Amino acid sequence: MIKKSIHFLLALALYGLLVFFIAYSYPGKENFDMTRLWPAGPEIFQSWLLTLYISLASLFFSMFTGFVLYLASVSKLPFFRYVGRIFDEIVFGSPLIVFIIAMYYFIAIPMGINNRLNVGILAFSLYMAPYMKSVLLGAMESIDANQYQAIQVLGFSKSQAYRYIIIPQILKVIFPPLIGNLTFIIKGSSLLSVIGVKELYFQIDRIQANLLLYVEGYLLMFVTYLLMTIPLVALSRWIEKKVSV
Amino acid sequence: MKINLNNINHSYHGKAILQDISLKLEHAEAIAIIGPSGAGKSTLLRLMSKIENPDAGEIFVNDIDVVLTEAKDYYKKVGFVFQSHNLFPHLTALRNITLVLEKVHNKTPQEATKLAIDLLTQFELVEHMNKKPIQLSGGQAQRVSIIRSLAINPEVMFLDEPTSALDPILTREVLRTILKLREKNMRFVIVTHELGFAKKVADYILYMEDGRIVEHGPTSILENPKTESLKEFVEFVME
Repeated sequence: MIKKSIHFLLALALYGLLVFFIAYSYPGKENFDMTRLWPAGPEIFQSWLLTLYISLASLFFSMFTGFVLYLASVSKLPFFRYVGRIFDEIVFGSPLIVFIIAMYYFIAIPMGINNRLNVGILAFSLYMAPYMKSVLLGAMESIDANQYQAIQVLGFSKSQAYRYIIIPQILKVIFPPLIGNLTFIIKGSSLLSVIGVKELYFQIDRIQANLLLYVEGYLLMFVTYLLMTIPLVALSRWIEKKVSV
Repeated sequence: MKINLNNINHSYHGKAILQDISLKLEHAEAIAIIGPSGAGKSTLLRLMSKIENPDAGEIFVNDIDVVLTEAKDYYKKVGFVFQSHNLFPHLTALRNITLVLEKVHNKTPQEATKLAIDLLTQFELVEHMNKKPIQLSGGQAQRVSIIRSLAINPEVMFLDEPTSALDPILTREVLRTILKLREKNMRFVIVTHELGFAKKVADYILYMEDGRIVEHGPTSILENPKTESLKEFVEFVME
């Protein structure tokens, strides 16, 4: 245990050295002043909350879109399977930024939808659908055919089987990849700035440009995103550990 | 136990697995189905336990029309034990038993727990009741699965090669449990490769080959087989 923490501290020290080296060699280091961002604190905090909201809402809705895509992929009708598969190819083949721009300028605007935030969340919910579908497929496959036979011969009804046997197992399997998807959404949410959503990246970018505090701004961005993602990664590892026994 | 099979035919992907099987038994208590691999033993058991329905023919178990009876009604009266234990991995041994009792057989949680603990005690598994299946040995898990089946007090139990996934030591453990079922006068049909065990536990033998029942009768047919194929099979297995 002690040995492990020494290794951890050494690894941290290595990154500390790297930060020191960057700070030392930065040409404008005499003017470096994080405190000048302080007055913009409430605005930045608000945008941080908005980013969190966008991410959680996108995760929530992507579970629905993912479920619909999952149903399409296991449908007996080839038509639905093809609809799902084509959508998968579109998403897997297009960069998120292009998908967001296309959703907003080519679909939402012509349809008269101007709420950038909602369009952003919708774009994410659709973009994440194939990833969510994969998570669901993996979770369903984690329950082997023998269990379904046991459910049958023990006389459980379908709803009892889902309530007491299938869903509790799926939830355990689904959590770590779900959190992985959430961190992906959080990081990707910065791309909503291209359609003018005032999320964290957009706000800090604007503030740093106004105050000419580029290094300080990017450093703050870096830290604020990590403040969201690191606890989530830790939570995911904790759940994985809990589930593995 | 009464078993009545009328002209059962069954196939998978066009390949005939069971061919025109008919059988009428009135008073068998413990039936062992034996025979070489691919003879159709497990398929016959799966049809009798309604895991599948036959392509053609009628099956009656204790006068219940297995094909026509609703699955949920049939499974209130019969139990099934698979080759692998098939316990639910997220539940403890105890909960694997009580869940069925509470949700399917409408017992109160107190009744279900009492019954499950009684059985686990009788079968010397009570100290493992709070373990998840992954924490049990293969033999212990299979025994819990037998108890789960037994707990509903079925009219008949079907056991499909319950020791095939186990090593010889764990096999003995499970076979002892099945002998205990017999002592409790539980009626069952078992598919097994353990000929010695079949002799010990069963009072009736079905010998199958190539999707047909080639010979059947009381356990003594293993000592004095009438057909050449059963004779060869017994000699081969006992070698």
